[in-house]
Amino acid sequence: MENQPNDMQYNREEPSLQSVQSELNALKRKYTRLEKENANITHLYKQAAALRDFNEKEKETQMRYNQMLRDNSPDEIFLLDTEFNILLCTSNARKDYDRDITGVPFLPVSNEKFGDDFTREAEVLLNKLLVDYKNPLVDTNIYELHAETGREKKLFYSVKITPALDKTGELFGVVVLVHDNTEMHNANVQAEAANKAKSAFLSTMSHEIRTPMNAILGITEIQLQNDLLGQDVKEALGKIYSSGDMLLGIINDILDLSKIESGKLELIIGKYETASLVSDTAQLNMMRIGSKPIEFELFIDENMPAFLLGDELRVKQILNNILSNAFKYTAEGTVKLSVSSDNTAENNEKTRFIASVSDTGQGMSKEQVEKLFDEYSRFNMEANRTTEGTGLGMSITRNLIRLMNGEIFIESEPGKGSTFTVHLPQGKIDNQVLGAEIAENLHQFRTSSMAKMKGIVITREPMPYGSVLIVDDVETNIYVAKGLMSPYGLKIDSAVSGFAAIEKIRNGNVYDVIFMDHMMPKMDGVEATSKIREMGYTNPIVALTANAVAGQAEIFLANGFDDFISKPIDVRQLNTVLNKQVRDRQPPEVIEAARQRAETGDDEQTADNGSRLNIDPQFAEIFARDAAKAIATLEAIAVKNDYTNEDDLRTYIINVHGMKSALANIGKMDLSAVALKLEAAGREKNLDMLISETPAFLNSLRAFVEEITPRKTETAIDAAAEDTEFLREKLLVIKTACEEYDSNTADNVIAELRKKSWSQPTNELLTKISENLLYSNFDEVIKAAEDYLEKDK
Amino acid sequence: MKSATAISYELDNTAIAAKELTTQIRDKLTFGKNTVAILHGQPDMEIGELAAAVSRELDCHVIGGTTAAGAMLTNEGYHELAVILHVFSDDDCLFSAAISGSMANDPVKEITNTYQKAYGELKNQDTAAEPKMVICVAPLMAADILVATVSELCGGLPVFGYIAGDDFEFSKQQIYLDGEVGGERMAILLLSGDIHPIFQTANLAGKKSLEKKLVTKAHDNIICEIDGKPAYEYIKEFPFIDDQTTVLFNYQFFVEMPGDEDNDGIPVSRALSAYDKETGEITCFANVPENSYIGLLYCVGSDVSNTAEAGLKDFLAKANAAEAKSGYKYTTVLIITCSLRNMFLADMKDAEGNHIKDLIPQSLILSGLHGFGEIAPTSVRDGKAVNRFHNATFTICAF
Repeated sequence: MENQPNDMQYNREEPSLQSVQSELNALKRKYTRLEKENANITHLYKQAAALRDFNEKEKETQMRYNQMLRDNSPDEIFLLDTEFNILLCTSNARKDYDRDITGVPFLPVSNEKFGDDFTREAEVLLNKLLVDYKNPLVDTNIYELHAETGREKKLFYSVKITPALDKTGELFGVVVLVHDNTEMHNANVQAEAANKAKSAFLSTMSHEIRTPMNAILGITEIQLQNDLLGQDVKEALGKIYSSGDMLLGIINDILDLSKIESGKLELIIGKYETASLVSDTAQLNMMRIGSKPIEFELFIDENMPAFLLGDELRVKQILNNILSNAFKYTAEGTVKLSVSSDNTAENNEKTRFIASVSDTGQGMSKEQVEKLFDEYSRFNMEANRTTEGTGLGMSITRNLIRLMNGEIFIESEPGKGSTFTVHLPQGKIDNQVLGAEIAENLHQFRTSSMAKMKGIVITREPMPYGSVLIVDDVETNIYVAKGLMSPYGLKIDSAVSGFAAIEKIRNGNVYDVIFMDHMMPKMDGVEATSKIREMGYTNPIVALTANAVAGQAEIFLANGFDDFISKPIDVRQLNTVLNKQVRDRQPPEVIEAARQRAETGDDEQTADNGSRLNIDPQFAEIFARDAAKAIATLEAIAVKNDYTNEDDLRTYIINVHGMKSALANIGKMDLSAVALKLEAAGREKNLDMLISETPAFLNSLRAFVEEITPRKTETAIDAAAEDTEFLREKLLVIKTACEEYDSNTADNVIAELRKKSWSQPTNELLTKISENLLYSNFDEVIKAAEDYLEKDK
Repeated sequence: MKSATAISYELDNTAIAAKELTTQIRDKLTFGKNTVAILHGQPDMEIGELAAAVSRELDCHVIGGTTAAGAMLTNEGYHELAVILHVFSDDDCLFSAAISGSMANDPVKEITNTYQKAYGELKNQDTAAEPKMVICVAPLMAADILVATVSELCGGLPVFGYIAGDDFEFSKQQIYLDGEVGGERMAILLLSGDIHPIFQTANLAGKKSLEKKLVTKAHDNIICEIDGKPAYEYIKEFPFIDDQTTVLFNYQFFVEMPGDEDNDGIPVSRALSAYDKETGEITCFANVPENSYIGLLYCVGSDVSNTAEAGLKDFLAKANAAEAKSGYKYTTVLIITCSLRNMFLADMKDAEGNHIKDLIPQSLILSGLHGFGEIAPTSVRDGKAVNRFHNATFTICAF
């Protein structure tokens, strides 16, 4: 504090006028200082008062706000102490009680309103919070429980329990927030129902649209393979095909986008081969080059992981969209795809898949790039009036990239071209990399594929060793599928329902592939497949569906299917599936033999086709005699069309059983298999099958007997003596029946025709028709009938 | 550097006061070849006479300015209504000083002439001598100009000093050198030779304030717009703002100077002088450049006390480190603290003095006073001191 004057001062003990004056001055100065200090303190007091008033006002305002919040909060909020006594609560929390609940224990109060279950669970969480609130590993903020209560209606509550901390961070209580979720719950239920209805609608629409598209594209595809058509017709069909294909693309885009927008698209994460993904995408786009002078270059980093973890289908979709745009908007020059990965990213379990597509196409201005991701926006509409597309592709692409937490970068300059680069975080499986050889092979892909793909020609391998079953409730679809598969020389069976397919398997039929339609009445493809799998059937089953809504493919694969083909059937996809499921499962020598037979034009025959079997004539004669007896017995039963008679049925079983063995002995394995199936049907009293399939079996058996019976034994008559009018009439019936896929009528008419004697060419015609009917080759039957009718006009 | 202080409470009789002061000094100090004295005076006394008497008695320059709020500082702490004489003497140091005429008309010319005169005097003593630092005592005008001009004239030497004060009447403050005295004059002291000054500042930056905002339009000491709106719109949010328009020292602006080439971006404090509700402009005690960040702050005695304590501790750490590094021994400390801080201390008015008493060792001879503004460097850039004019700041210089 203030120091006192030292003894160096003048002598105050001898007062003088000067010293008195000096004392007075000092006192005046002191007084002035005190006045100043007083003024200062007064000023500070005023400030303090102003601050206090301000704080009081603030406090008052704050209290008013708090009260408003408490009065108006729709939630029931309780502030409890650590003993769970209620310190404070909102008006809404108080309203159901006829007393003041402040200060009383919370749990009994809770029990009154929310019931036992709720309160018990809340008590557990409250006690847990007291222990865990300081544990950084426990997120105390997300305690949430649901309760149902109410006598007349169900009420749903969500409860959030959070710690109440004081200024120093110490726990002084708990905040319990009870939110009435009933409306939200009910709205969610409704929303889910609406969403399901929307999904179902999408699925149905997808199916409804794609089914006729299947017919349009499939039939067109088949007809395009017909060399007899004139060039103008082929051109017209080509336009129908490309327009249909485009329409299908539009439908797919719309369905995909609707799926993404409704948040229903979920990534299906799995292991995939990077080389295969890149190769498939490039391959798919080669055809887009068409006649344009475009050089395609493919580079893949040899240090890229060989396998990655991600949604292969969607990664392909992203790459495909970008690559297809590059080809679409590049008239000439180069399109380059570079693929690499950033192994240093994030951690050892993650990597970044980096794909970059550069082109020397039209390029884009800054404004065009900004609009690129807008839905339904097509770049430079004026200049690209003829370019196909919905304008949804890039929007879908961006959405998919976002879904993967990836990024897309675009560099573009009008007239010079564009570079699209995508970064997609993917999981790493191990440290195995592609290596230089595979990288180089993919690089070389460019030249080999260019030549291969420009003509859009698919090389169909002969697969006479293969058998397939097509299951579809729509005959047109079966027709289309058979037509698309016929060039492979496969043995094709069909079933018009899931039940029929199951029966075929139960009867011992085994196929290299079953193509199973998804949506069929009564029993859909998923259920049918499930039942077939339950029977222990392990051969491949491929889903065949018009339902292309994103995500369906994964469902099929998870339900016992081995593969998935969307309808309308893409011949490239079909070719891939057949190669994989039929050809590649054969020993190399079988494949090679089939190829050689195809080259020598001998591909129609197989080892078990009795018509070209080298059978000992004597043996053949014995067989023919036995078979004739069996045919006569079976025909007598079949003509009744009623297998309910026990004696008839026993006779039937004995005869088909005998034929089964005899046919096997003579090497006619396909007919033997049919006999086996009919025998089993007889034993199981599967009368429907006996009724539907016996006539065809007898026709085939009869035809086979005729074939192996030496010519001298034939009862051929002179062509001139034939009842041609009867023949023409019956062939017309067969043709009409086949146009309607009615094999039963056709089989019955053949049986009727067989009862008469015919010339050698007519017998051969009937045999050909029988054979084709056996395999439901309706188009062949129609063609054979038409040829005869045309010839003999 | 040898250093000693003397104190006298005789404010009426300058002869007695001079005798008391010089006697104490002669008792305490062994004089070297060269000597200079700083006299911290009261505004309500014949301080010019006292300075002249002491100068004659000790045969050296006596430079100084009057204190604000009647308070002085020594190693013993806070003294009220006293005068303090602080004498430095050394064989290896040279001192020169000069005082200007009135700065009212052409401050730059006066500052330049005064500096040149002091510099000439130094050269007269030793043609090879160059100043190492500058001490300025300034009038209540053109403080920014003074700092900038002197900094330029001395080529970036550290400049330390203050605005002479009075009892908030703003008319009685005096600046003096020997027998010359005036309220609008400025005095310069140049120190040369074996001297290694260090500095420390402690202000109220970071204390409670309104949200800091950008000064978007300003010229000199007038702030026109803050965040693109009239400046008054900002300060009227403060709960204490009343209908007064002249509010010098009532409120504090703390200003963060922008980090451009002219300064170091270290925040300095700036006092609010007045505001004009009609134009929306705010007048400050010194310049506030555009692009500064401004915050109207409110502080209490403990804030002032705490910053002084922290500043003293930082200073001692700095001095110890410098001594350890160079072997140079610090003997002399000057402290200038703002009269505004004294106001905010209110009933804690001894706080700064007590921290000094507690923390500063007796080996460091200390004197100081309350100024109406402080001059001290805040940093060194490219070998040159960044000298700033401060308000509400506790500034320390040692050599």
